[in-house]
Amino acid sequence: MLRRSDLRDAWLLARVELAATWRRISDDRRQLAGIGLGVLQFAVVLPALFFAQATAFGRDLTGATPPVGTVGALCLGAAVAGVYLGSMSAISQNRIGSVGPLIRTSVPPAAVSAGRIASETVQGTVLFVVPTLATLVEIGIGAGGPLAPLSLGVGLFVFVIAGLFLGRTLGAAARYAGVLARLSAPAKAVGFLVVMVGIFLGSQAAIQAVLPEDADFGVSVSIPAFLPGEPIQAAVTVLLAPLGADVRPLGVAALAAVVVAVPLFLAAAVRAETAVLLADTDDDSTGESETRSVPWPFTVTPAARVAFRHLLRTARDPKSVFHVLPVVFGGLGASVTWLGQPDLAYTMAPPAMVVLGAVLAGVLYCLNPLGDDRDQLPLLMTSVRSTGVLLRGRILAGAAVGVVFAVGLGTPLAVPGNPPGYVALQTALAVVLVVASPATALGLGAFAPKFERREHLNVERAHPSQRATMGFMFGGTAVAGAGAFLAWWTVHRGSRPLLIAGGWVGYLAVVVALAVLGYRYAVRRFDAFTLDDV
Amino acid sequence: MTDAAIETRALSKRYGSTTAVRSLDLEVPQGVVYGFLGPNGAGKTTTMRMLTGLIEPTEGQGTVADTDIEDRRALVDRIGLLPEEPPLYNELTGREQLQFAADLRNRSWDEVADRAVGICEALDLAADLDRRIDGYSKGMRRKTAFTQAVMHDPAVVFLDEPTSGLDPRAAKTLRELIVDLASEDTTVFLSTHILPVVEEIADRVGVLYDGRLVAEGSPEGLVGQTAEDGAADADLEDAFLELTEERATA
Repeated sequence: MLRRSDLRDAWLLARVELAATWRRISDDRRQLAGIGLGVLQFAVVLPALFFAQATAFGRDLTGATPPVGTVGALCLGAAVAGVYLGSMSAISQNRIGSVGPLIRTSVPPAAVSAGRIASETVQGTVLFVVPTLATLVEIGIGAGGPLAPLSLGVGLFVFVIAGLFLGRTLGAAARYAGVLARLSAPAKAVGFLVVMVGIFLGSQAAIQAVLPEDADFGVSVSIPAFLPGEPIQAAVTVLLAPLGADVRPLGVAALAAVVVAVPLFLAAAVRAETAVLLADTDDDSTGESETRSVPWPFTVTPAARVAFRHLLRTARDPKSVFHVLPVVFGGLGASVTWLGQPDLAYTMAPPAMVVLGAVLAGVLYCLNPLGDDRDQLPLLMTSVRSTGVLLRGRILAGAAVGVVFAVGLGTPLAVPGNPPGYVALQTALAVVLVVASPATALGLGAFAPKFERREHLNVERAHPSQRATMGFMFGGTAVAGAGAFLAWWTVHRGSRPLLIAGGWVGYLAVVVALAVLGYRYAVRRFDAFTLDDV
Repeated sequence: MTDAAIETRALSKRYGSTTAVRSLDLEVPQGVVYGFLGPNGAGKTTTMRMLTGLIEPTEGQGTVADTDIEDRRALVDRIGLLPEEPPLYNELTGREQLQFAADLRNRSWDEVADRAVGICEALDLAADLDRRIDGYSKGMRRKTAFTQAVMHDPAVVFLDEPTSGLDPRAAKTLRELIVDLASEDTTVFLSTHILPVVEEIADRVGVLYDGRLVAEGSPEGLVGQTAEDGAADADLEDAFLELTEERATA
């Protein structure tokens, strides 16, 4: 139970954390510009784009029959979004490691938990406040008065807050379970990945279930029967009572339950997070691990030996490559589409594996070369004559993973249903791409290396630039996809050999030139690199 | 330039309007332990970074083991560095880290293993070499980083606070290892705040203050220069305080 002094400490902690976060953002012009653009987009552009729909919805709210189903769906969506944000913010708490000892010995743990919940809730939701208010104003314009947006706003607020605190509790409980289970770093990373994939696929399934194919986003959406639609819609009748909705007793009970759930969920969240805070979370290291000697074929060259160490470190701490998750989720997005169209999956899966392998090969180790070795730079820079060996090690490490997808999966998937010529061509293309892609990525990474540690996807380290990651992901997909298309065209529509040969020459010239330029630029850049550049 | 293991002429480093190192002239003979002292922010780390090629001087020049300090490609074969923060990969075991460091220098593990394991045995680390570094204590990390800095038998070794975090027994062993290195003709450039260590093992001492070399000589010589009225119980700490206080109040 929180005391008055705990609340004071919690408020102090939340205030300091928010001020520190704001200072971090405002000190970084690029981050500030990014946030400014985000606010502009969410607060001005999107409300302007959806002005007609929002005002129409406002008119519906004040019509003869208030759209209870739609508002119910919105409230449920707000609660689900709250659960997602809350659970993610509870799981991503790396900074607690650095400030933990201070706050653990300065203020009661419950106050620490409450303060962090407050500050992270504000940080997680602040970007949505302005666009939500702008949309409510538009709804008010359509409704011709403040009553409709006020009723809707109160409903959304109650549901999103309840969702946030429930999510926070679930996230903290998941962390606590991880601590009690004493999982190894790889097991934790796999668990995290499974949860993320589950949330992603679950949300896709929920969206498809809630929104029928012919859904009109304006008014007619309702909650399907398998969700707790009836109590939520009943609760909405209470919210919309001032607008003429028929209130049902079930609705009063349901809304009261949601309102009562808010402090209960908050108390549960504080309790769960306090348990995590007091647990011994310093459990990433098992302390026991056999030394692995470098196996063949990684023994062949010094760069290959460097590559093996990258792979070994990733196997022991997969979180260090969590910046590839956007690629994984991009692939999952495509998979969800294919699940509904098996014929498409049959045709697309082999080249898609080539593209995935090529992109992964580049993104894994080459988008922030030496940036993610920041702490080891004094060793690296005083040990190697040229950074070329380190960079080639990164290319080989990326290629070793990429080839598993591009050739290991892509080739067997291509065998049924394709002529041997296509299988051979796709395999050869895959081999070229998994080497060329990381070499190209090196150039991009050397152009904008990142040395500052920051927290992203629950990992605190010097991550590659997000723009470089996304840019490489889309660019790499386009280039690798073009090659896959050329391979398919060559075998299935190869009636004009000269044109095809010219296409291959041009394509390979571009791919190889990008790779060579990228690698050579990176070597030149990093050979001239000093700690003054960090 | 002479045959000194480390030699600098008017070496300077500026960061904007701040001058970290001012016109530093150093001459460190081969096969000695050189204690490099100075208060926090005096420019010791900046000097070590320039001498190891990690940063470029703004002005001046220097050589380490007859190699221009701006020629990093050639320099790496001649030096070893233990920086203040041990540059280790947490996910590797101690042995894997040392093997990796050997690979980076293009030396086979077989070539350096005897020396590396011998140092680890002396430092009581050998039994833990197959444990992951993320389970190491601060002292064990320091011992591993020391080993990787010297196992390839470099001509000049730069050590920044090598005994920090070590227990008394390990610190004593490490001091002995440093003396052994010098006796094998390796030059040891030792930066530390632990003055008794310098007094015990250094052949020469340089005191840096506000980027300038304000005193240099043997530990006994410095103590003698600064001791008031030839006080018999004066030590290097008194000399250091005297030298730096003079400058602070000047």
